[in-house]
Formats: sequence, C-alpha cells, structure tokens
Amino acid sequence: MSAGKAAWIGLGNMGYPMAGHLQKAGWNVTVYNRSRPKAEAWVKEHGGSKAPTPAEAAKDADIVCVCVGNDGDLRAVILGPNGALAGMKKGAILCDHTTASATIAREIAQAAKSLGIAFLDAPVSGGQEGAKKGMLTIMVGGEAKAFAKAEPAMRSYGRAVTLMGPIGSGQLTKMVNQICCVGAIQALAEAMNFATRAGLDGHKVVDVIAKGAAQSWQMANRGKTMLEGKFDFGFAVDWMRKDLGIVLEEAHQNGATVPATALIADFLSRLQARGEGRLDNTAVIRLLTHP
Amino acid sequence: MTPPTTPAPKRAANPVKAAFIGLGVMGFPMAGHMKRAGHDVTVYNRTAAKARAWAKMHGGAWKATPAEAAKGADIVCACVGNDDDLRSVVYGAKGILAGMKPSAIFVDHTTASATVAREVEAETKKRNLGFLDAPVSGGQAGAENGQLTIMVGGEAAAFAKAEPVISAYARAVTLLGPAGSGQLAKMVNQICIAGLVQGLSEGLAFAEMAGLDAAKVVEVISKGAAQSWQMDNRAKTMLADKFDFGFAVDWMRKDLGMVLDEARRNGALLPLTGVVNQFYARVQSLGGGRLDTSSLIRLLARPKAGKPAKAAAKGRRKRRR
Repeated sequence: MSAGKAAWIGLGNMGYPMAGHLQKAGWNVTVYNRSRPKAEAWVKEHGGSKAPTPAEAAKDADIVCVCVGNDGDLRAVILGPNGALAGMKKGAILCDHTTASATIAREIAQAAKSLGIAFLDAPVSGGQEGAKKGMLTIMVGGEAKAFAKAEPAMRSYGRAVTLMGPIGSGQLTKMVNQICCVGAIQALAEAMNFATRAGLDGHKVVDVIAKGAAQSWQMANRGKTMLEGKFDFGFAVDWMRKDLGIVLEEAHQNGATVPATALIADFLSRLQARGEGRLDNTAVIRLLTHP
Repeated sequence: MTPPTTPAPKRAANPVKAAFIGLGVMGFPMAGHMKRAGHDVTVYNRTAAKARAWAKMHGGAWKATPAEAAKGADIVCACVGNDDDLRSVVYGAKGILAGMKPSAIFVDHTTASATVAREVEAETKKRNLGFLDAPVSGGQAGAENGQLTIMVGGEAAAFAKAEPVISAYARAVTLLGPAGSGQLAKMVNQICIAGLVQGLSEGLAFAEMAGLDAAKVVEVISKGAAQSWQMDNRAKTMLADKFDFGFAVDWMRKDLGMVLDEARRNGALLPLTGVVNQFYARVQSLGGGRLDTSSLIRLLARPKAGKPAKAAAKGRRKRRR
C-alpha cells in the first residue's frame, strides 16, 4: 500500500539518496532532474517514475520535495512556467530542502499560499553521508499544520526533524549552523598550523585537547585530516562560500554583526580564486600552510 | 543542576616529599589534592595568610620563601600568574632553585611562554635538576575536582618520576615533547577556544537578531557539525547574559599575547586569533576584564530588551541611514 503520492525535484548528491529513502518508506515517488540520465538512473535503482518537467512531476502529488543548488535554481523549478507550483494540486505541501535565503522562502510561501498550497523551508545538515544513511538533521520553517502533515515523509531521511518557527526559520537556523561551523573550522585551522610550526606532534595534541574546552565536532572529525592535508571529501569550499553569502546578506538586513564570519567568507573566496573551490571547506588551512 | 561530583582522593603508592608554590584559585586546591593523596607537602604563597589558611585546612607545612619550601623536596610544583611571577619565585637567593636538592624535579603548572620554559630548563640543568613545563586546562572546577588535563614538556625520565605525583589532581597527564611543548600545546588549546567562542557569539547574536528562538536553535544544531564544548557549556549562559564565572578575559588576553608572540617567532599565521585578541582588548576597555571569555558576545548587536527582534533590527537600519 502506498503512503501517498510524492514528487522529488533535484537528484544531486543529497536529493538522490533522500528521494530513495522516501520511495523505500512506501511513497509513490515521481522524480524530476535537470539532466535526465540521473532521473533515469534513479528510477532504475528505486522504481517509481520520472517526469520531463517539475510541473508534471508534481501533478497530483500530496507532497512535493525540492533539493536544488541555490535561490536561482529554486525560482526556476518552482515559480517558472513549468515549475512545481504550476502542476501542484490545492491542499498539497511544498517542502524545500535547498539551503537558500530566508527571503526566497518567504517569496515562494506567498506564491504557494495564493494557490492554496502550504510551503515549508526545510534545509538539512549532515552532509552526503547523512543523506545516504537517512540520518539528516532537518530545520523547518512554516505552519504547524503543514509541518505535521510533512513530518512523516521527512522522517524517512531525517533523524531529527524540528519546526523552528514561521516561514524562513529553517533557513535562518541553518545560517546559525554555518556561522558556528566556519568559526570552529578557522580556529582549528589556525591551531593545527600553529602546532605544526611549533614542532609539536599535532595528532597527539588533538588527542589531549579534544577532551576539554577546546573540543568541537570539527576537531574530532576534521583535525587529523587537516594535519594530513586531505581535502578530497566532505563539504566543498564553493558550497560554504555560497551559504556564507546568504548569511552576510541576511545579517545586512537584520542588523547582526558577524565580523569573523565575514573574514572567513573572504578566505573562502581566496581559495576559490586559487582554483581550490572543490576541496572540503577545512582547506582554509591551506591559506596558512601554502599562503 | 546536578552537584559537581568530587571523586574519592587518589592515594599515592609511593608518597614523596613535595612543595607547592603559588596558592591561587588553581594552586590552592591542587596542593590540597596532593596532600590528600598522601604526599608530604610544604607550601609557599606570596601573601602568607593564604599559605597559613592552606596549612590549617590540609594539615601540611608552610614556609616564608620558595627556597625554604623547596628544601629537601623530591618534587617542587609551581602555579603562579605569568612569566615574570615565575622568574621571581624561581631565581635568586630565596627562589625555588636555590632551595632544591640535586636530582629533584621542578614542575611548572603556570600558563607561561615556551621561552621561559626553555630558559628555566637550562638553569635547572646547570644544577642537575629535572624540569617539566606542565600547564593545565579544566579551570577552577577541574582543579577543585582533581580532574585537570595536564600538557607536559620535558624529558621522559623526569616525566616518569613526576607523573604519579601530579596525577593526584589530573584526569589526563600527557608528555608532548621536549621542554616548552606543554606550553605550546596549551597555546593550541587557547587558539581553538578563542575562535570557537567568537563563532558561537556571532551565531547566537545572529539567531536573536533574526527573531529565532536561540535556545531551540542550539538544541538542534548542537547535534551536528556545529557542535563544540563551548556551545554545550556556554550557549545558555551567553543567551542569559551571565558572565560572572569561568575563565576571565584578562587571563585569555595574557594567553593570547603569548600565542601571538610565539607565532611571530615560528611564522604561523593567525588571522582570526589576532582579530579575536583585539575583541578581547575591547571587552577589557569596556570594563569586562573579569568576565568569562564567553562575554565576546557583548560586542555584537543584539535585540533591545523587551523589544521584538524585528523591530530592533528595523530601528538599527534607520539609524544607520
């Protein structure tokens, strides 16, 4: 028996496995992806069906989930002439997992509302690994009623799914997450490079200080790869730079002061200019080791 | 809140004669743990009243000079304020080195420079004494509970002799390399903390300005890649504007000063640490030197009390124009 009819727009590193979990949980999923071979591969692997446009994929679905690159991509797949809203039925729920601005979340919510469709902004954290395992953290903004309806579907790929407040709150929460992450990463980068320069055994130092007030998830999971100069995995500099762009824009609007975050955004830009945008974002240490 | 658990005193297998120099908020309880472990402890403190109070509380002896306290001891530990305080208790006719017996070991728990560690080591070598630089982390609570982390620099032979004794107040004692390595590792620790606290401050203040329930945000994001000890242990107090506890800004400034000096020598770039050091200077100039290090958030824009965040943000924008 089907849990319901769902659509999935965007089969990237994150969306592909997330949609897979949804189908496995008993939903009847129709997918759309900009490049078709991926949609074909997904159907071959998971069953379900594919459609040539977001509007057609979204037709008759009870819930439409989206996970694309940025604000511009979102506008195209949701608000465009062949966008999801053009195909969705009244009373359905549109759930966006893209890390995007709070502004576009509010803009889409308004467009959806006029069509009798509820919108949730629901960015995720946990990376590709979390998406594959169905263990993502999902931060949601929107109305409680829509959240209650969409939550069971999101549970198929989310370990923690939390309603944070009105429309945009999911995106804003993700921004707080990224601010804390880059602060921790930059501090760790400076500390690891200092340890190396000072002639210390960095691995040994990490083992000792990770038990106290200097501890962080980043130290436990990235300290040693940074010391070893390994960056061919994880969350790319390009993506973090995009997210910090959204943070800085939002801070400009709400009056928040984020001096360290702005500094680190500039460091990430420098890495991009050096052609290192595809490396994991802990590569900020390369500006210290290879200035 | 659960009351802090005080572990049962650790009894030493081989009690030694020891001295402890400097009975501040850290040294006082550390020396106490040493005595309770069964060692014969003699203390010295610049203000004698504290030494007397310690002797009364723990039943050890106290002396009027570092040299007298150190006399006959197998191990002499110090925990004072900075490089200069250290030099003043170590050198001279009344200093620690003048009182120590040959082949005894001097363990310095002060957070000081790697330079002074190497300098004191050279002096101890001339006198056939052992030396370890052994700064601690874990704060006053860690000292009181005997649960400090001790980062040690020096020679393996001296470490092997001192370790069972200083374990009386430690959860972990690790030899990290030659003299100075303990201080350098502590610097790595402080670099991490400075950046983490600034990132957390910006995250929390941003959450407030954005009108989010910041406590709820912390609950959610502390389960993932944004997690840190600082987030787990300081976010709530930062949001409540509570800073009258913990590790003082004045002390952090002292530590970061040493970090930046050392970085100039070893060539390490510290762009964020340098900026955060300036922010701490600003907190000091605003009269916040005694506040906990998490008071960095005080420098950031936050919604006015009683006003919803959005309104506060709007007002700010208007003023800017």
